[in-house]
Amino acid sequence: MNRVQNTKLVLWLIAGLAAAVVLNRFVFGLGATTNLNDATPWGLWIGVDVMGGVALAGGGFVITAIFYIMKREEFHPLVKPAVLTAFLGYLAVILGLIVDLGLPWNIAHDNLLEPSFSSI
Amino acid sequence: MSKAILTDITKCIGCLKCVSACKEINNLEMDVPRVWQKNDGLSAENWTSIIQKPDNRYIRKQCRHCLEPACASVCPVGALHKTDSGAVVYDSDKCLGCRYCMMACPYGIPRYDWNSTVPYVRKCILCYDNKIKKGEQPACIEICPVNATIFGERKELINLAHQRIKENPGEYINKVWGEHEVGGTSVLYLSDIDLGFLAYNTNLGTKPLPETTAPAMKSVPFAFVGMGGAMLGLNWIIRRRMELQKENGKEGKLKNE
Repeated sequence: MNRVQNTKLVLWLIAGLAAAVVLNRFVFGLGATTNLNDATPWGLWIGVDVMGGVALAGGGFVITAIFYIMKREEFHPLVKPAVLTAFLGYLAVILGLIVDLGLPWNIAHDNLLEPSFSSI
Repeated sequence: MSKAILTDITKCIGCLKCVSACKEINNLEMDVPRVWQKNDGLSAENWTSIIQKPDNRYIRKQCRHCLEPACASVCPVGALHKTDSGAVVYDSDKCLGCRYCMMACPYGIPRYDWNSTVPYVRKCILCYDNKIKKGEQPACIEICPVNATIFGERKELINLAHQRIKENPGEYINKVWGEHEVGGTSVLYLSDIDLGFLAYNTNLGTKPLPETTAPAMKSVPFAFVGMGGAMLGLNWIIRRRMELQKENGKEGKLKNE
């Protein structure tokens, strides 16, 4: 096996582990999966979502703003990877949020059509 | 007609009848000790609890039903709201389970169904559906054998509390807990020991907590539109300048230099 295959194997193992955790969370609940409790109801998932995913997307905003709004042509090679990274960042947030929210299926209700602007 | 509860710590005998009455009317299951519980007796299946302090002091802990609840303010979908009756109630059909209310509560009251695959936020709702709507008193009040905890109009209860302090000044600390903290709460306490431990911070202040965050959060839509407009304007200026530079050619550049 060459190096690429080895790396792939490691990545698939990590992904498989994550899938097992997700399955565990939806079958047995948050208490069985996480170390969250009534005193600290927010933990790693929220932290990684906000500090990792949203922050990753922030870079995409900056690079695209510099290229498309401020017209600095020299940033052109960076735009595509930046947009892709930002997209993956938000995707990670959404996937993380679905696992972290206790009742993610309630998002499908019309709740968010009448959002509460004192929050979010 | 905002209703309230007044609990007099000096009268409570710690019989726990309010705790079992609460369990009964809300169909709460047996409480199994779990690693995720706090040590104050409240849990997803225990919406009121008695905390024992030295010298036979029993403090009944429950949701304070703030006049301007932080939990309702932070909820992204409006699953929690303060009713006219005074109760802060919960709508499980709207809840996303994000647990923001648990982070926001200054008294650390909302609890979570950590062991459930359909986890709801659980807390005292002042028997809103079962009792208040019918014009009755919450179950914990009805059952109390010594009237240590009573139910009534908030204004009248505050007057009564001050009257009790006046009549027996040596018996109480001269303070009605819940009269002013975080803008006032609908669950009031009279006590001869300090009840600061009920809140996450002994110096809560009298300002309603939603006032500290809601103005900033409410301006987000305006900031969103405003920022978009500003960026559009910036883009227009830059494009216009580039066009002018192209038209003027080298001459224009020289002029700028």
